[in-house]
Amino acid sequence: MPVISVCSPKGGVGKTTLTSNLAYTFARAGTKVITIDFDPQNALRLYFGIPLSEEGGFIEKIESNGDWTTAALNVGKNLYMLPFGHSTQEDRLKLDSLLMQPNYFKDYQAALFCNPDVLVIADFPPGFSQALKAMADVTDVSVIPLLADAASIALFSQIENEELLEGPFNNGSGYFVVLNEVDNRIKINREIQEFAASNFGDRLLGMIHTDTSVIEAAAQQQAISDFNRNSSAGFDIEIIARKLATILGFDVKQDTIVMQRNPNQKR
Amino acid sequence: MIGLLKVLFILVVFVPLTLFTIISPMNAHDQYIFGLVMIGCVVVANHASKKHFVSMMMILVSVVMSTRYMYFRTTQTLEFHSWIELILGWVLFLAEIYVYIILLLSSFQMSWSLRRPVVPMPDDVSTWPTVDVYIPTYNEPLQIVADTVLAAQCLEYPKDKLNIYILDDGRRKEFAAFATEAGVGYITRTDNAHAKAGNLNHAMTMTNGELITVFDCDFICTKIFLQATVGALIKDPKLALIQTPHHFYTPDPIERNLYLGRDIPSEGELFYGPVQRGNDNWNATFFCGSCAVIRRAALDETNGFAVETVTEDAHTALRLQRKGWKTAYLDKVLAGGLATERTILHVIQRNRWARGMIQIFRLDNPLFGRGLSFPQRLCYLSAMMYFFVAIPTVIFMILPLVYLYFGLSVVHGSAALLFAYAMPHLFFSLYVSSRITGRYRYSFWGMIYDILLSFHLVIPTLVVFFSPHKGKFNVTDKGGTIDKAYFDAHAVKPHLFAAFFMLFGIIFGAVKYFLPQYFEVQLSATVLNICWATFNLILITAAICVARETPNKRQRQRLSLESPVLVYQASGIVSRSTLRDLSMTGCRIDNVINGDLDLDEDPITDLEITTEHGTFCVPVNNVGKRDDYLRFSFTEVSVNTHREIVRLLFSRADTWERPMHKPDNILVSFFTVLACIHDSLMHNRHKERQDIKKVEDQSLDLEKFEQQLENIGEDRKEA
Ligand SMILES: Nc1ncnc2c1ncn2[C@@H]1O[C@H](COP(=O)(O)OP(=O)(O)O)[C@@H](O)[C@H]1O
Ligand SMILES: [Mg+2]
Repeated sequence: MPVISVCSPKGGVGKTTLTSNLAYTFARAGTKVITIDFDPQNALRLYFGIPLSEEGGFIEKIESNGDWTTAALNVGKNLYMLPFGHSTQEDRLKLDSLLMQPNYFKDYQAALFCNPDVLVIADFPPGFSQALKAMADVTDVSVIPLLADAASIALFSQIENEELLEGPFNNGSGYFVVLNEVDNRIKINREIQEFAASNFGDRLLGMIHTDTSVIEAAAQQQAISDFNRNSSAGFDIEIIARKLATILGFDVKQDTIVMQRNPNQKR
Repeated sequence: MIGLLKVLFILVVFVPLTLFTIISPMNAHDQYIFGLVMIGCVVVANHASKKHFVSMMMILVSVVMSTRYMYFRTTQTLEFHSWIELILGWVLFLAEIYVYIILLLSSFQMSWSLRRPVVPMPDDVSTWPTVDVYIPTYNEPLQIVADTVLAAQCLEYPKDKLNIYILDDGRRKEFAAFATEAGVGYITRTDNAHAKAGNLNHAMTMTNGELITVFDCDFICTKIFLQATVGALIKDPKLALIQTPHHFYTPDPIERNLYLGRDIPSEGELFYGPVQRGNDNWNATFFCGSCAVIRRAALDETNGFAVETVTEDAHTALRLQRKGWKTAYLDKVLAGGLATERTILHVIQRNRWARGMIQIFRLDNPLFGRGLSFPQRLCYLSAMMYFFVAIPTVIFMILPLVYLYFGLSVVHGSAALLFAYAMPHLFFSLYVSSRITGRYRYSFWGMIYDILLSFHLVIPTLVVFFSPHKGKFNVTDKGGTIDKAYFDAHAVKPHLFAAFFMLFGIIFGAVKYFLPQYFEVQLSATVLNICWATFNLILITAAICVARETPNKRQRQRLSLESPVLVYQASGIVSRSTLRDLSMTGCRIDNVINGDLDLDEDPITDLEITTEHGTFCVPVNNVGKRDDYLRFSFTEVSVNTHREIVRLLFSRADTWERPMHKPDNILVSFFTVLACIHDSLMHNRHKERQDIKKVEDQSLDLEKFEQQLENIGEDRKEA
C-alpha cells in the first residue's frame, strides 16, 4: 500500500489543493486512489463535490475504534475519499490518544493500509499534528508544499532539519518539497525559485504556477484540468504526480500516463 | 625515378605540344573544326567524370584555347586603317588582355581548394586563450547593434575568458546605456581618425585579450563561433587569422529586385566558397573585416590594423603575411549579417572596395616587396586586379556600337576567322567555370554584377589608380526599409543611356544589314556586332532592373519552432500552449484558450516562454486570433528577454546552414536571366509572391497593420 503524506509547517500553501489534484490525476491515469483528510476543518471533501451538508467521516468511528473504510465515499472512477467528519473538541482529543499508540494504522486500520492496489494520499492540518506523527510509520513519501514567497525562506532550514515531525520524516523515500505559486514575471519570485532549487537539489520535486484556474476549479468543486484543460498549474501537478509515481515504483508510461503499479514489482 | 619521368614528359612532350597548339595558324574553316572538336571532347569529359583531375584537364584546355586566341589576336588582328581605329583597337585588345590575365589568375586560384575542418578545442579549458569581441559601429541604429551584442553574449566560451566591447565611433549616449544594461564593455574615442581601422586600433590599446574577434555591427554570430575557430589558433601558433564566410540573411538589391525569389547563388557565395578556399590552399586567405578571429601578438607586429587604405581588412592580412604569419579560411557560416538595402548603397559600398583594393595595388603591391611566396602574390594580385574590372566591362559594352554606328572596325581580319578563334575561347571560359564554380555562381550573373557597378566605378578606379592617397572610408547604411516600389533611375543613369544607344545601334545595324544596297557594310561583321550588342543589351537591361527597388517592409527573421509557452490572462488564469513561431517583435502560439474564456473580457497580458536555456516572460498584445492560432506582438522587451529571443532566433549552431544550390546549367541560366528581366519589367512575379505570402499570413499582423495605416496617412498627405 503506497502512501503519500502532504504536510507543511504553514497553512494556505496548497496542501489540500495538491492532495485533491494529485488524486484526480492518479485516478484518471488508472490508479485507485483514496484521499484521507486529517484536517479537522474537514475541507478536502469540498474538492470532490461532496455537499457541505454531508458531514460524516472517520471521526465517527473513533468511539468504537472501528474500521474507517466504512466511512469512505466513492467520489469518482477509481477515486475514494475519507473525510475527517464533523468533530467536537472531545472527539479530536480521543483521536489523538488513539493515534498515540504505536503502529495504530497497521494494527487497527489494516483494511485501509494493507491493500496493495490502492494509493493513499493524506492531507494534514498545518504544522505538527499527532496524525502526521502516527502516519509517519506507513508513509512512503512526504510532500511539503511551500509558497514561493520571501517568508518561506525562513522555513527552508526548518524543513531540512526535519523539525516538522520532531524527528526523521519516515522510513520510506523521505520528504520532497513542492514550490507553489511561482510566477516568473516577478523577480523576487524567480530568485526564490533559484534559491530553493540550489537549497533542496533533488528534493525539490516540482513547482506549481500561480494560476487562478486553481481557485476557480475549487469553487466549482472540480479538478483543475476539468475547469481548464490547459491550466498551467494543472499541468505542473501532473508532472509532480508522474515524479511521485516514479518514486513509488509505478509503471509510468510516457504518453499514456498509466500509473498502475508495476505488476512485477513486489514491495 | 617517376619524378624524373614526369619532368621529362613535361619537357619533351607536353610543353612543345602545348606551344604547337597555341601558335599553329589555321584558316577559318580548320580553326572552326578544331574548336568544335575540342569542345566536343571537353563536353564528353565533363559528363563522364566529376573527378578533380578531369577538372584540371578542362582548365588546362580552356587556358590553352584562350592563349591560342590571344596569340591569334596579337599576331593577326592588330592592323588598322586609321588612327582612331588604332586607338579603339588597342583599347579593346588591352581589355581582352586584362580578361585573359584574370582568367589565368583565377584558374590558378581555384584549381586547388582547401576544405579545412574545424579543429576541436582542447579538453583543458584553462588552456583556452582569452578573447576580446569587438563590435565596431559608427552610425547604425542601436536596434541592429543590440542583436549583435546580445548574440555575442550567447557565445559558448568561459565567461572569464570572453570580453565583449561595443566600439562606438558615434559617441552615442544610448549605446553606452545599452552596454551597461547588457553587461558589455563600451569603448569610444575623441576623434574618428582612420575610421574602422582606427577604431579597432584604439580599442586594442584598451583591452588585452590574446585573441580579437571582429563582428561588424550587423553580424549576428551563432553560439559555436569561437569554439569552431579558436581551436585552429591554439593548434598552430603561427596562425594569425581565421576567417569565416560573410552570410547575408536579408536579400541584397540584386536578389530582391532581380532574382525575385528564385534560387540563385547570391553574389558573395563565389568569393566565400571556391575563391577563399583556393586562397587558403596557398596560405593566402584574406581578412574580410568581420567574422574573423585574429591573434593580438600578430597584430602587434604590424602596428595593428592597416590604416593606409580604405579596405583595411585585405591590407591587414597582406601585412600579416609579409611578416610570415599564416591565415586560414573556415568555410562554415557562423554568423549572419544584413545585406545592403538599396542598389545605390550597394554601388557606394563596392566603390569603396574597389578604391581600397586599387590603393593596395598601388601602395603595397603584392607582386613586390618582402615576405610572400609566389602563389600568395598571385592570389593577392588576383583579388586586386579584379577591381579594375569596371574599365574593360565598359569597353566591351561600348565597342560593338562603334562598328554599328560608324563602321569602324577595331579588329583586323574577317569576321569568320575572328569568330572561329573567339568561339572556343568564350565557350570554354563559360563552360569550365560553370563546372568548377557552378554551384556558387550561375553563368552570366557575374557579368550582370560587373555591369551594374562598372559605369560608376570607371572614374573612381582611374582617380585612385593615379592618386592612391585619395580616398575616404564610407560606412554602408544598413537595416533600412523600402516601403514602396520605385525606380531609382539615378542609380543606373549611365546604364540607361548605354542601353538606349545599344538599342538604336542594333536597329541601325539591322537596317544596314537588310538594305545593303544603300550602305557599305561587311554583312558577317554586322551580324557579329549585332549579336554582341544584343547580348550586352540583355545583360545591361538586367542590371537596370536591379534599380527597380521592390518594397522590403521590415525584415523579420521568423523562426518556426515548437516549445512550451504559458499564457497569462488578466484574471490570473494561466494556460499552457505551444509556441509555433517567434520573431524579434512577436510570436504565434496554438490557440488553447477554452471556448468560454473570453479574450476580450479577460485579455492575455503576458507569455512565459521556456527554452532549453531557461524561461523568460514577456508582456504582449494579442494582435490576431483564429480558431487554431493566436498571434502576439511584444509590448515591452527587456534586455534579458531580448537576449533570450536572440538566442532562440540566431544562436543555434545551425542557424545559418543552407542547402547547396543546384549545379549550374548555362542555357537554363541564360533563360533565367531573361525570365528575371521579364518578371521585373512586368512586376508580376513580385506581386504573385506577395499574394502567396498573404495567404500564408492571413491573421492580422500588427506591424503590417501599422505600416498600412502609415501608408494611408502618407497617401492622404500627398493627396
Ligand atoms: N497554484 C495556485 N495558484 C492559485 N491559487 C492557489 C494555488 N495553490 C493554492 N491556491 C489557493 O490558495 C488557497 C490555499 O490553498 P489550500 O490548498 O487550501 O492550502 P492549504 O491546504 O495548505 O491550507 C486556496 O484558495 C487555493 O485555491
Ligand atoms: Mg488544507
